Parts: sequence; C-alpha cells; structure tokens
Amino acid sequence: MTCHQVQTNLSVYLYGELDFALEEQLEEHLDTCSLCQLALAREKQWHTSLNTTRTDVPLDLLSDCRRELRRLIASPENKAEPRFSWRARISGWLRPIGFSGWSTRLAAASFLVFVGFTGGRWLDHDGGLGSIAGGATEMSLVSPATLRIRDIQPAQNDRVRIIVDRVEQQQVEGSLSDDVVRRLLLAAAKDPTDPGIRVDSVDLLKSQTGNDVRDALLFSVEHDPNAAVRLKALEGLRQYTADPVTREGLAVVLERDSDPGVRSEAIDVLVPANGQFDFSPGLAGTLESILRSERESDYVRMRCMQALQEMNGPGSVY
Amino acid sequence: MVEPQAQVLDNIAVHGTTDRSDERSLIRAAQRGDADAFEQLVRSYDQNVLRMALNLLHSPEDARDVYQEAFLRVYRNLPKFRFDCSFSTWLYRIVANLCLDQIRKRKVRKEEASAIDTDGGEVDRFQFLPERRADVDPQRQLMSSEVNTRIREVLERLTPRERLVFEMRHFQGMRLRAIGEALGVTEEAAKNCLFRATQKMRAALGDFV
Repeated sequence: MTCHQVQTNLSVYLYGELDFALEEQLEEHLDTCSLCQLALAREKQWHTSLNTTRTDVPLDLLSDCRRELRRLIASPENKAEPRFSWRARISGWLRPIGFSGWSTRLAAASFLVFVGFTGGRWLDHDGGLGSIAGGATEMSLVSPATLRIRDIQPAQNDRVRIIVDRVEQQQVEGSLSDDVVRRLLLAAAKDPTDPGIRVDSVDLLKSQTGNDVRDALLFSVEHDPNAAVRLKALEGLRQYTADPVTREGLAVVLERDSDPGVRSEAIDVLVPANGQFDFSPGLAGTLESILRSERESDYVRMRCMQALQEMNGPGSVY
Repeated sequence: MVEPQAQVLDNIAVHGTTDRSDERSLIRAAQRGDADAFEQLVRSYDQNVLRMALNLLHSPEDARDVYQEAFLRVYRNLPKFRFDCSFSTWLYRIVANLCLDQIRKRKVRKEEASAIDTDGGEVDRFQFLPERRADVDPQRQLMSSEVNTRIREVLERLTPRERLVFEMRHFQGMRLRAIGEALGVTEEAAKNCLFRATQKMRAALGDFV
C-alpha cells in the first residue's frame, strides 16, 4: 500500500469500515511510516473537532415535537390503518366477480356462518384450541410497554414460575400546587431514562417554591448528565440565591461541572450581573476559591473578580 | 384527579419498565394499537431523528416538520411493517427521504435557510437554537462559532446525498451497510459517498484544526 492509498483511506479506516484485508495492509504501513502516522493524527483531530461542534438536541424543541406528535396522532384523520381487515379483503375478492353492495354483505354473512359452523364442528371433534387454552399463549399479556418480566424460575413437574411487574397507565391532572402533581414532578425530575421528561419537569418546578423543589433543582444541577437539564434547573435556582444550601450547591457546580456554559450560568445565578446579591461572609471565600480553580472559562473568572470588587469597593485587587 | 392519590403515588416508579424489552415486541404491540408501545418506540429514536434533521437542515422549523412527518408516516404504516428490514433502517429511510426533499425544495426556492434578517443585520438562524449556553461564555462562543461556521460551509458544499451519508455515519454512528439500506443503494455506493464527503471535509478543515 502506498502513502497516497493509506491517506485517502484514513477516514474510512477510522470509521472501522475498511474490509479486513485492507485494514491489515493499512496498519502494516502505518507501523513503519511516520508521515502516515502524522496524517492519521491529523485525521483523528478533525474527526474529534467535528464531534465537539455537534449540536445538542434542544430539549424544548424535543418536548414540543413530542406534544405535537401526540396531538396529531390523536386526531381522527391520522388513525392508523387496521393491520388486517377481513371485510376489505373479502370485498376485494368478491368485487372482480360482480359482487357489490348488498350482495357483498350477504356473501360475507354466509361466509361467516359457514366458518362458524365448520369451526365449531372441528373444535368439538378434536379439542381444537382447547388444548392450548389456559396456557401462556396470550401474546397480548406480554405488552412490553406495561409489563416487565422480572424473573423466570423453573418449578416442579415441568412447570415454570414467571414473576411479572405490571405497570398501568394512569392520568393525573391537577394544578402545580396539588400535592400529587408536585410529587410526581419531583420524581420525574430524576427520571434517568428520558432527558425530555426531566427538562419538562424541571421547567414546571422552577416556578414553584419550597425546600423540596429547591432540593430537586439542586439535585438536577449537581447530578443530571444532560447540560440542558442542568441549565434549566439553574434558572429555577435564581429565587434561592440568598439561601446558604443553594449557594453551597452552586459552588460545587462551579468547581466541578465539566461544561463551561453551565458554569457561566451558575456564576450568573450566584452573583447576578446587576449586582443584586447578598454580601454574605461565606460568599467571598467561595468566589475566591472558584477564581483559583477556574482554568477554562474567562467569563467565570471575570464575573468572580467583578463580584469580589463590588464586595470590597473600588481599588481592591484580586 | 382520576385515581386515588395513594394508588398513583405507588406507581411513581414507572420508569425502566422496558429496559429489557425487545424492540420487536414493542413493534408488535404498537401494531396491535398499543399507544404506549408506539410512544416508547418513538422515544427510542426521536432524539436521533431530530438531531439528524437539525444537523442536515439547520432549521428548527424544518427539523420539526421532518420529525412530525416521519413519525406520522411510521404510525400510519406500522401495521404494514413486516420486518423485512430492521425498524431503524425503515425509519431512517423515511427520515433521509424527507430531509433530501427539504434540501431539494430549498434549492428550488433558492431559500437561504441559514441566514435571516434582523434589526442588527443578517445573522445565522442556527444561533437562535436554544443550545448549550455558548452565548454566556465569549471565549467558547468565538471558538465554537468559528469551527461551526467552517463546518457548515463545508457541509453546504457537499451534495445532499454526501451530507446525508456523512451525517448518518459520523454523527449517528450508523454502519455503511445500514446507510446503504436506508438510502436504497449498495454498501459500496454508500462507502464511495462517504469517501467523497470526507475528502472534501479533510481538504477544507485540514489547515483549520
């Protein structure tokens, strides 16, 4: 393999889409060619920089889309076609041979009578479906949306014991001040499966007050893996900035959050740009600590310095 | 309030119930008219679908249209789905066709989707997306917008099919075989398309990264 061939195939190689023989040849070449190793490093670099520019799905847009889809599906014109329509199928068979309207219905009725009569005789004769009745053959029982099979245990006499968790859908409607609604939203804010649900819950909770809401928002800010949810929770925490527990949480975010955008929002919540924040004794220490630990975001450092200067009056140097 | 409170609260822990459920079972349940199963099916894919449409079209409005139309088509035609291909291949085929249609329509209309006029002059429409807060960090904003602008320029220069293949392979992580199936071309044709796209990307970004 020549250098040119190697370098033109590098992207496909990085995607793992080269066939085995070509991949081996390419790797053999790479082992001995420093020029191609350099080219591979550059190729990896632009692949990586593409990944860093990737846009997160805006969760508000995702929520809107889901709501709209639900509404559209519920509308009568979008009802799914039935999977199997005997009536349509029988009409289809009969139409080419001149049956239509009442004659089709009559023919269909006769057909059904015939099926019923014959089927009944067959079932009486050899037991028919009775042989499997009572067994676990009802597929509708195993709806994956509502059931989860937790365990399967062999039992005696060729029997089996299946432990099934069943979930039933219920609708809860009420005002945000309603205790049940509130508790459901608090639980949904920690739903590990769906960031869309979490962002919706946090969005609703942020207009509420109370220690339980504050704690849920702090939990989201400190632990949610999705930056959009963390940002939404930070919006909600603006009303608690005088609260020491909230300040402590915000300081943790500023020290530990990997996303500079979240840290920038957190500093704005902790020390709003309009200067309307409480000069509590602990705040200066927190800001100094953040100033020391922040290496990446100039904005966070600048806001810390501004806040400290405001606390100490003009002329102070940090 | 539909249900007694205690009963409702007993059922708060409803999540994770389908972790182990098989997609095929979900599809069959949805085919029988199970709305929950359909919704779960949507939720397994909808973030990727929306991301793909956003990355390809750079317009939240168009991405929203593609999302709605794609899942509506799935909903209407799911009863006819016979597992001849994987569900994801079928879904991405629909999404890919819708995105290609949008891109072609734009070309016909000569619509400049990525720029809109405002009082402050022409700005990038994509900046109106509520993205992660690049806007509050000037340094990050600058870097991010320079790289984004360059990438967008390069992507605009790709043919619609090249963009689609590149998006599906690089950002969605789909295998070339699946991309070929979704686009109705051979794996080799998809590979050639990816090859051309990456050549162009490399040429344009080589000195930038």
